[in-house]
Amino acid sequence: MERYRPQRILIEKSIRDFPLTQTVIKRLKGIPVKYINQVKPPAVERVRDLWLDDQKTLLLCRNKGRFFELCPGTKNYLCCLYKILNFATNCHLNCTYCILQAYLNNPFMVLYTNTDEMFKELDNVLNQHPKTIYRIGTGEYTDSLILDHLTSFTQMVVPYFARKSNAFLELKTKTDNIENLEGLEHREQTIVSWSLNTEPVIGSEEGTACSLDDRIRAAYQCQKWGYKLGFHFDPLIYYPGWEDDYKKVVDKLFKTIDPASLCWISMGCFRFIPKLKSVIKQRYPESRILYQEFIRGLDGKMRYFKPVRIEMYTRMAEWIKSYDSKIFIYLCMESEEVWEKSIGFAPSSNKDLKKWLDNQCRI
Amino acid sequence: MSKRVIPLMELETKKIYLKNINLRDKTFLLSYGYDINPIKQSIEQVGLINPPIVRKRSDGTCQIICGHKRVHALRKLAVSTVICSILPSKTGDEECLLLNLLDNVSHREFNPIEKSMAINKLQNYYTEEKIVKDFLSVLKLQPHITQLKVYKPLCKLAREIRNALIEGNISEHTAVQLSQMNRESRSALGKLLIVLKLSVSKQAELLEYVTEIAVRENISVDKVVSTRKIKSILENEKLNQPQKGEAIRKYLRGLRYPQLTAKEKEFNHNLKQLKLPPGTQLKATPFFEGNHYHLSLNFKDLNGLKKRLQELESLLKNRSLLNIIEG
Repeated sequence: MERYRPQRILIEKSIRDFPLTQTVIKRLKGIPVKYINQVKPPAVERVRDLWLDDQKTLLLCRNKGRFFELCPGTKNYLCCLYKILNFATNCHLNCTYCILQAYLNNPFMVLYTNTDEMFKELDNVLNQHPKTIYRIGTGEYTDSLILDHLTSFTQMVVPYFARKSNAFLELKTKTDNIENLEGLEHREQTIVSWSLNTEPVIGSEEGTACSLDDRIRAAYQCQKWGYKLGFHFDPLIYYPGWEDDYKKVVDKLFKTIDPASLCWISMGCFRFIPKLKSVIKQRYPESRILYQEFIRGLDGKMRYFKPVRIEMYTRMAEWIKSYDSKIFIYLCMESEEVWEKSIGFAPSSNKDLKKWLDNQCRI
Repeated sequence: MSKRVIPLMELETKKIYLKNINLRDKTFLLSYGYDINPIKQSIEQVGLINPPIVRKRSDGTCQIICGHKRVHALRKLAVSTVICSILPSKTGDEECLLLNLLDNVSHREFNPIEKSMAINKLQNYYTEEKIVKDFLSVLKLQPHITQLKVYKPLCKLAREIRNALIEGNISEHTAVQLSQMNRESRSALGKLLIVLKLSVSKQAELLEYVTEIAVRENISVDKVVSTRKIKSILENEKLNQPQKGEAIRKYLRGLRYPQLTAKEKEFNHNLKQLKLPPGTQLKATPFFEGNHYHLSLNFKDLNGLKKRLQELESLLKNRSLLNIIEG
């Protein structure tokens, strides 16, 4: 897979001497750099019209807000109370369905290089509540590994989490950018996980993301390095022939991956906020993902009609469980009813689900 | 708008032979879909009040800057000469266009096609940003680039769609969507929408169904709207226009959302079978997404309530109720 290489770099003057800024500059020798006083939010039209172009700009700046936050989740459906470590935003893989297109107000690839402040903030939270288990992901506003060849960010965070007994880091990716993970002391406090999809979906909807084979190969490598693994069938995309294709993915996965190394497999059917529809239509007119049977869910997001979702989860769970009935499967942003009807049980609350997933980290 | 427009004192007034005025030259024409009769009648009764403004061309003919309708009407009346105000021949095209635009907007509001014509003509001289900033409000549009993008293609639509738009049978949004389709699709869907005369929101709904079915099924829009079912609804003499519109909307919704509409049909069938007591209503959550139901009942007094509850209790083992709640 081709690694991200920007065409220009914007750097906020106040962070020019930070170690991470310097690392990135060194690795991108020859790329024009412009120093700026402060990032101004670009016009809405620029974000809309120049999204793909502007991703070729890497912005190094200070995160003036919080690095650590609760996953926004969604109302009226079960959520796992995941926490987010916001070290970068945007992603140049350009999956057609990506929510970031409707969420971010800045089209640049952004990296926050004030990592000292990030670790200080993390220390504060984790030390203040030593008995609380934190599952923390870096893959909400970006792909966790997409910039790692430039930043070696994992070489900072993986050893950091290895020293924490009440926190687990999940690196979520669609890449095979795993070189920096080799040889790190992780003490099984880091879970490396991949978003998986069928080959037709990867081909038509997941932009420049890795092929399925490359993702599984990278996961296998991480398994060999002793990492715990996670897989996310999210978004599950409904299309004629989905059954055969998704079954093939499950079969391919377990041909290589040992179920014993799995923390979890999650599933979530494709859902989107209504305003994403026009963005996808305009940016990816060839995409067909918007034209199945969507209804407005209880959280205002568009979702497949409930029986379709139940059918997809049920079949997927059957195929996965046929390899090992102990594999822990959970649903992302679904109702108790859908849990019950598709995988046979449901957490009674978000806290309940959190507890289950926290336990999975420790197995 | 900072451009200087020709002061009136620079205009010379002269009698011109109508045959020397080139009515086919539409360089500055900003009128579309007008009715010539009122102006014709006015000229017949009181004569021409305001002389047209023209510019002399090097070939000796005159180009109309303001007053296409007036010249058109005069020609219909077989008049041979007309008093015109003549612009100095050095007057530039940009000034001529502004003169016509400002003359027109001072006494009437443009229809959507005329707004589109104005935008397209202004683009010969100005950037989109300048048009948005200086001219959209003159055209009574919001000064925003999206307005420019919406209106710009309208004047290039097929004549029947342009006419449907100015007659109010289709909305600007619909016209823009049609403008992005191929000829066959535009023609088939345009005709259907013109016949149905739907409200703006129903037009948008129908357009969404049709275009999304076409993409999903990988067929053309004209195929979606040229089915036997739609034809039979249109030809059904027992239905009036709104009923035809509703029947076609329902049919297309069924194609777009087959599972949801099947579920709705089943729910309504069971509800009918259930024969709820009068004044009682049972509703599912929107799109059957939630797993609860809403029951409401009317009663006047305690006895009325008791009676309603007894009636409802007797329905608890009804097969249709089980189908609704557990099916």
